Parts: sequence; structure tokens; C-alpha cells
Amino acid sequence: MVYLEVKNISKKFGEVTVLRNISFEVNQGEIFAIAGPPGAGKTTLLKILAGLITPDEGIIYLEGRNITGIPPSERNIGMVFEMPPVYPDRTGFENIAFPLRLQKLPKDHIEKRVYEIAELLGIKHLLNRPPTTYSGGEYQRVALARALVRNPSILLLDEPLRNLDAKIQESMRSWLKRLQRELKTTVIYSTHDPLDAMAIGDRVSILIGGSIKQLGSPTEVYSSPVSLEVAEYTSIPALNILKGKMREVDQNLVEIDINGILKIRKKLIKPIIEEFREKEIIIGIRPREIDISEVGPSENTIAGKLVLVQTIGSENLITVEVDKYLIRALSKKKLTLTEGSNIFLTLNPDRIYLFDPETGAALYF
Amino acid sequence: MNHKIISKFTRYLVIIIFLSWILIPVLWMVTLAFKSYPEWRVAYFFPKEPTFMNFILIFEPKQIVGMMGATALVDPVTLPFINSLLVVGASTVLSVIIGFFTAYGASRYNSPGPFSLFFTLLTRMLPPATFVTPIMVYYSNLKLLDSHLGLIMLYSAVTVTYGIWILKGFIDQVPIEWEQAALLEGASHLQVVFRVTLPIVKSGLVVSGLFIFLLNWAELLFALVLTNVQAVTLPVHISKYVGAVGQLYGPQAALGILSSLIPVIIGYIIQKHLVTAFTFGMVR
Amino acid sequence: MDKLIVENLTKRFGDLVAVKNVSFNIKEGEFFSLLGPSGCGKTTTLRCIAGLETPDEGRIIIKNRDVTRLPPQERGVSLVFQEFAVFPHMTVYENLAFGLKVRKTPKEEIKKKVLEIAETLNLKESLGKIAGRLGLSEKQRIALGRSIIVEPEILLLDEPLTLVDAKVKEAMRRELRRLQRELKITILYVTHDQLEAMMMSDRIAVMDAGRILQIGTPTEIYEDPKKVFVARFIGSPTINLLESKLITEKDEYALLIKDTEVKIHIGKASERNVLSKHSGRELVAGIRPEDINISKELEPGYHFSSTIEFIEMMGERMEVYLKLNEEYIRALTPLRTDLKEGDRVYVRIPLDKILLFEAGTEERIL
Repeated sequence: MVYLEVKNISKKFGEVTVLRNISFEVNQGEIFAIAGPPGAGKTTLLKILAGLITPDEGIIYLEGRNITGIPPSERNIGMVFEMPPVYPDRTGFENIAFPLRLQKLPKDHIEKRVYEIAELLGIKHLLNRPPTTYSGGEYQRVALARALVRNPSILLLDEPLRNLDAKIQESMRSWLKRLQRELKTTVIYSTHDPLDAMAIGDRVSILIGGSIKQLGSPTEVYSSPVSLEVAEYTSIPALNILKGKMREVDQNLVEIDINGILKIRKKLIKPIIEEFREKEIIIGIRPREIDISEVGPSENTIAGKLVLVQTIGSENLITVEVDKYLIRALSKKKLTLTEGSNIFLTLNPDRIYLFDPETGAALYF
Repeated sequence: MNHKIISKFTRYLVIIIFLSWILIPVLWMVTLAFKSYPEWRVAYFFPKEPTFMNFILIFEPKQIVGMMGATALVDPVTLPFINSLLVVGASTVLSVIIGFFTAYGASRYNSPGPFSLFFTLLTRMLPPATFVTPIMVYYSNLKLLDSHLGLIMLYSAVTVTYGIWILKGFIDQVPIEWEQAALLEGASHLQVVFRVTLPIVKSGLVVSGLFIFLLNWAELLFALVLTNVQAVTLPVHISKYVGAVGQLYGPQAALGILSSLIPVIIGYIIQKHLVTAFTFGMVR
Repeated sequence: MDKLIVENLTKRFGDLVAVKNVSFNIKEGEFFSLLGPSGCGKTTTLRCIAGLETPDEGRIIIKNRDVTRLPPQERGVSLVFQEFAVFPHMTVYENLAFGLKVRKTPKEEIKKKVLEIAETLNLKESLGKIAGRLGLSEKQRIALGRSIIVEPEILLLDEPLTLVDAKVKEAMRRELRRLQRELKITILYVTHDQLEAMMMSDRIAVMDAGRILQIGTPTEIYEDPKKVFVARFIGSPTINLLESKLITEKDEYALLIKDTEVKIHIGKASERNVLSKHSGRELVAGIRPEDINISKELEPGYHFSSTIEFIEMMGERMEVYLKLNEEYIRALTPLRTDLKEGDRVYVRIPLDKILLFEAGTEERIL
């Protein structure tokens, strides 16, 4: 059921266009993640949804109601900002109770509700303590409790895990996801980390430079990026970007000459072959899609010099110098090689992405 | 090692010299207050026969016979003391309140216009002596001479600057998102100011209030010119003692102690609050 | 040659002992990290080495000189913070030259060194620009350049990448490592991010509550953690830790997982002598998510079956949450379309990947 509908939202600050024609829908009870590099407009978008910033254009519907002109307090939206509103001069209880006190609800009702939410979030022990004694994770949870205490229709989270230790980010994210499952609150979650968005979102939107470049399930967005921009953004470790030229070999089969270092054959549909034959295209390969081997060349293999080996637990991230390019590959294989030796990288023709050099659009096969 | 000991020694030496420079006169004043008339002009510190006489004297009207036979009538210190408390107290409160709201506007709303906030500093840039005469003329016309109201108004106008600048610093540190969250939750702008910002900058209010109090407490020029009998403040009263006439060293010292009492207490309290004021930072 | 020797370093702040008897050595040209959660004492240790804090006990020796009582400027260290030190009003050139100017280096030499460093850090085109106007990535490189150009004995970095976003962070981790290897700089790096430490370090010291728990290469720490804390802190997703009891069935040892019927046979009693004294005792079994095998079909040798409660997509991999009575076991698998929430699956745990710890002391047994 479409819960939140955002149509053509645009916003300019002076000369700078921060958001351009943003449209999307959020279903009830889902976590909708918005991922984008810093400056993409995530916080602005969230503040517009909350009503703290007025858009120049566009309409917002919540549960069928047009809330575009309505002041923030009447939207029944809960929000946790990057500087979560946990006031240092009062106890956890007072912080969480704040919104309820504003509504002048009866004392015992407030108390009951605060204890309820504190129980749910596992922070009862923080109620009588001042925020100066909280750890990072506890701080976030109190802010979350405050946002949830009014039972908002929708919860906006603006990079909530940003200031937490890496390990705690992991556990908080899982905890958050499970909490949301239980409460069935509709959540919009913004983050600069694409992996974070894909891990937590039921659906993910990629916001770059003020526009939504792609929207879909995490798998969709990851496996089928619509443009070089999206593929590049969602790749951690960074995407390998190479140039190549396409030559028709047979019906639906092309040979792509990658920078003169490798010729790889790939099946493509006719229209693409017709448009791009003999033209230059961009090739994107994710590090994990490259197979490494210490022994001799075989099909679709490039030889290179091992420049850097970095261990990440059970995997190795290697940087290989091929010609004058640096290619990154991620593999579970145990390496006996040291830096400086020769190594072989094997590409999988089904796993390389092709992009139009002019528009950046992905060429699909 | 040697080098370290020498540098430590010199450091302490310098500190001791400095402190002595400041504290020895203070010590003199304190001991003087307890000396009786014969001992007023002696060269040693501690009185051989300490007495509270001076403290009693300052509360009684006195006929002073000074040098060259000139006389003057000096009033008890009670009225000036109360006046000071009243005037300084009221103007401090006023400065802090007006300062807070102005600072809030300046911090949150980019208002007044870009140059205006700067103008609030002007009151502190002009030497008071330059505008004391015009003020006196105005006050004369408005019948505000020698009035509490007149002094309060003037003091407030001058020290509100400090209020604004100190509090703006504190308010700037309160993340705007904290206020926006409250707005989101249904608070009106006024409620945000009183229920969110104000409590958080509590220590800022205390610090600016105490600071302004100290400034006004010691204010002499305006009080001297604009008061006469009724609204006489403590500094003015003390100046009367110290004139061509007054050689009443003992009572002067007693007055000194009396009038320093409040600032010293305030200075002590400020110190404790300054600590909380500066650790007012983000929780990580 | 040992570039840095830290001996029995202890630092107290009032009642709080921030650093307790910390000792470690760093070799010349090594990238060494202090890794641990916030508050574990890593930053304080760094600050003691830098000379910003005076330790209560212990010695710090840099290149055979005891620098414990020396002020920072005489130790031969350079420090890079989170909020990197860049003079906004100066040009990039002036920024980089600053340290050398202060040391009264001749102009010609300054020019040579600045150009060199700018080339390495890819700042050559920006040399004439005003530093304050540049982006985050450039500013970081300038701060780095400033600290490297004075050729310190050791470069100290205090969580310099914390404020940086995910993609730039990843690139910086590669760049920093490459730079370090190329210039052969000795680095002491402080971070709370285990991925970061693993990617860049030659060796890592894992710290908690003021103490060093283990020192080793990233691989050693990952494969051979000596304490539960280390096993739990290293590796993403976090290792599964199962409370279990070591029982004997027939003549084989098995782990009986608490509150379940699940038994994992771990070998003949005769072959696993080291376990004999722990028989019947409570142990903690650690299994990394990436080591767990999940299959939809019943395969021989499976240890238990479970339902998929939850799946977290992580790009090319998925984290699968399996219910095991009250707790979850998490498994990391490559992207598979055949697994859905609610599916019943069969789990197999490779025996050689199980890490066993004693329940009380949290010490590693096997």
C-alpha cells in the first residue's frame, strides 16, 4: 500500500539546485533507504519531508493526505537527525517524555508510554541518567525512543549510525532492522554508505547530485546498475573502470578490446551492437568479479604486477598494475605471492558492465 | 635535569612576585580595617590591638575633620550599599534577559541585518566620558537625575552588549536540529526558546549575569555624575571618603572589605560555573 | 631495527587507569595499528608516544633514544589528527613548506622536497591554490604531506579517516598503504575500525580497557585470536559465539550447544588431547559467518537444520540469520537467489574453522 508519495520535489538554495524533480513512493511498513555521497541532498530531502524546509516545487502525500503545506508538528513524523536531539541538561526520561509533555498529556500516561518505549528499545537503565554518561549507541537509542514515543506515521532517520564505532554500527543496524520488523513502522533511512543502505533497506534509492539515479531492491540496484554513476557509487571496493572498443564477430557476439590489454567476447543484443560497433565504450568490473590466479594465462586473463595486498579477514584485496592502469580484485583465495610478483586476473564476460561513454547509461544485454 | 630545576624555580619565583604585587596591598587593606585610630598610619601589617570599630563607624553618619581644617559630612554606608544592590541587580537581570533574546535572534535568524550586530559593540567602544555629559543633560530634562530608574536604564544599555555576545556564543553551540526536533514535535517557536534553548544554556546565563554584575558593581563615572543623595551607589560613597578631606584610613579599609565582599563571592561562584560552561559540549 | 619501543606504559587520569602496562615494539618501515573500541586507551597511548601526555610509568624509546621526558618537538614524531591540520589561508605549497621553514631548511631544499611530496600525493596541480577552498580529500592529503615532509621517525595517526565518507575512506585506505610502502614510513595508526586496521597494517595490537590483548599480523589475529574479545572484535560480520559444553559421546568429543539438542562432533578423543582437561566444561565456540555452509538440500554431515529468520543484503553477499533457539546464528554467503526468509535450510560447520575458548577466562584453547 502506498503510504508516502513524493512528487516532483525540487529545491534551490540561492543559485545551487540541491534537489531536482524528486519522485518516489514508500510502502507501508517498509524501510526505504536513500543512499548518496555527501552533498547529494539527502538531509535536505528528509527535512523537506519533515516540513522543516519548504520545497520550491512538488507535493507530498502521506496516507493519501497532501501534507506539503502543513507545519512539521502536524505531520506526525518522527525524525532522528545527525545531531540527535538528546538534551544534555536533563535525564533520559525527560528527553523521551519531551514530545509528550508538549502535547500536555496526563502525567501517568506519559510515564507509562515512556517506560513502554524504553522497554522496547532496551534502554530502561538510561532513564534516570543524564546523557553525558551515555555511550554512542545508547545516545542513538534514546534519540530513537524520543522519535518513536509519539507513534509517528513515518520515521525519518538521517545517517543515524554516523558517529558510532564501526563494530557498533554493525550491531545497531541489525538491531534497528529487527526493531522495525517488530514495530512495523515505516522508515526512511539515509546514509552515505551504499552497503549500509543495501543491508538495511527493503528498497534502496540512489541519490546523486540532487536526483534519484536508481531505485529498486538492494539486489536490483547492485546487480543491475542503470548507469556508470550508480555502478561506481555502489562499488566498495571501488569499481574498475576501463575503456574499450567493440567489434562485431558474429550475430549477437562481440569482441571487446579492453585498452589493448585483453580481448573478451560477450553476447549482446543486436540494437546495442548496431549502435556501438567500432565505437568506444566504458567497461566496469567489480573487484569481486575478478578471479585471481598465480599461474599462467588462460581465457580472458590479463597478466599484471602485484602492487598491493591487503587482507580483509578471509579475503584479500589486491591492487594489480596492468600496463599503466591499476586494477583491484577481491578474492577468497589464499595468496602465496608477494608484492612485485606477476599475477593473473581472469574476467568473467557475463559479469562485466558496459556503459555508453557519453551518457553513462548501462548497456544491457 | 639541572636545567629543569632552574626553570621550575624561576617560574615559581615569577609567580610569587606577581602574586605579591597584587596581594600585598589587599593584605594591607584587610589588616588596616581592623586597626584603631592610633594604628592607622603605622608601618607594620597586623594590628597590635584589633578592633571592629571601623566597621561600626562606616554605618554611622560622621563629621570628618580632615586636612587643613576642612570638614565634610559623610553618610552611613547603608543606603549606598542597598542602592548598589538594587541598581546593579536590576540592570544585570535586564541585561541578561534582553541579551538572551537578542542573542537568540542573532544566532538563529541572521537578524538583525549583517552589520547591525556589530553596532551593539559600539556602546563599549566609546569612552564613557564622552557621553556622560549629554546623558546628564537628558536625565536632567527627564527628571531622571539621582534616580534608581535612571541608573538602571543606563547600566543595562551599556552591559547588554556583554550579555548578547556571551550568550550568542552559547546559543550558537546548541545544534539547530535540537530545536527543529521540538518544532517537529509540536512546539511553538516560543516554547522552543523557553523549553529547549534556555535550559540548555543555563550556565551561559549564570556566567554572563555574574560577569555583568561585577562590571556594574564597580561602575563609578556615571554614578558619580548622575546621582546625588538618593541613588548614591557604593563606589560613589567610597570616593567621598577618599577625598581631600578624608584621612579616615581605617573606615576606608572597612568600606573596601564591605564592597569587595560581594564580588569575591561572585567570583568564586563564577569559577565553578565556568567549568560547566566550558564542558558544555557534544556527547560522543 | 626497532623504531619504537614502548615499555610498561601506564597512564592514569584521577582514578581511571586509561593505559595499563602497555608494551609493544614497532620495526622500521612497519605499519602498526592500535585497534580497539572507544575508550580502550589507544588514543591516550598515542598521545603519550607523541609527547602530549606524560605517562605515570613506563618508557618510550624512539630509535634507541629514551624520549619519555622529552617534549613533542624533540621526539621526531609527526601527528595527524581527525580534524586535520591545514592552514586555510595559505596555499598548498606554503602549507607543505611550513614544517621545513620552521626548521630553517634552506629554500632550495624546501622547494625540492615540496615538489617531491606533491608529486607522490597528487597535489602538484594544486600547489598554488588556497588550501581552505579545497575539498576534503585534498585537505587530507595536504595534512598528510605536511607531516611526512619533515621526515619524522614515526608518523602518528589518530583515527584520521573517521569523518570521511565510506567511498573516500576505502580509497584512502589503499592510498595510504601504498604511500607508506613506497616511502617506507614507519606508522603508528589508531582506529576503532577493524577493517581499516586489517587493510593497512603489517601488525595490529588489539586493545581493550587499557590493555593490549593480542599483537599479530592481520591474518594471525583473524585466524588465531587468543581471546574471545579479539575474535569478536575482528571480522565483519561479527563472529558467532555459541555457549556450549564439551561432552564425550562414544569415544568422540562433541560440543553440545546450550539450550539445544545440537551436537557438533569435533573428533576422536585420542586425537584431541588438548581437550581432555576441559571435558565436561563450558566452552565458547566461535564460528565465523563466512565459514558456515548452508544448503537447501539435506546433505550428509550437516549439523542442524534451521529456518531463515532474516536476510541482510550486502552487495555481492548476503548475511543470513538462522534461528537457533533464542539466539541467531549468522551465515555469510555469496548472493543466492534460492534462499528466502522462512526457508528451511541445513547447516554444516567445517570443524577446522571452529575456535574454542574457555568460558570463564575467555582464553583460546583450540
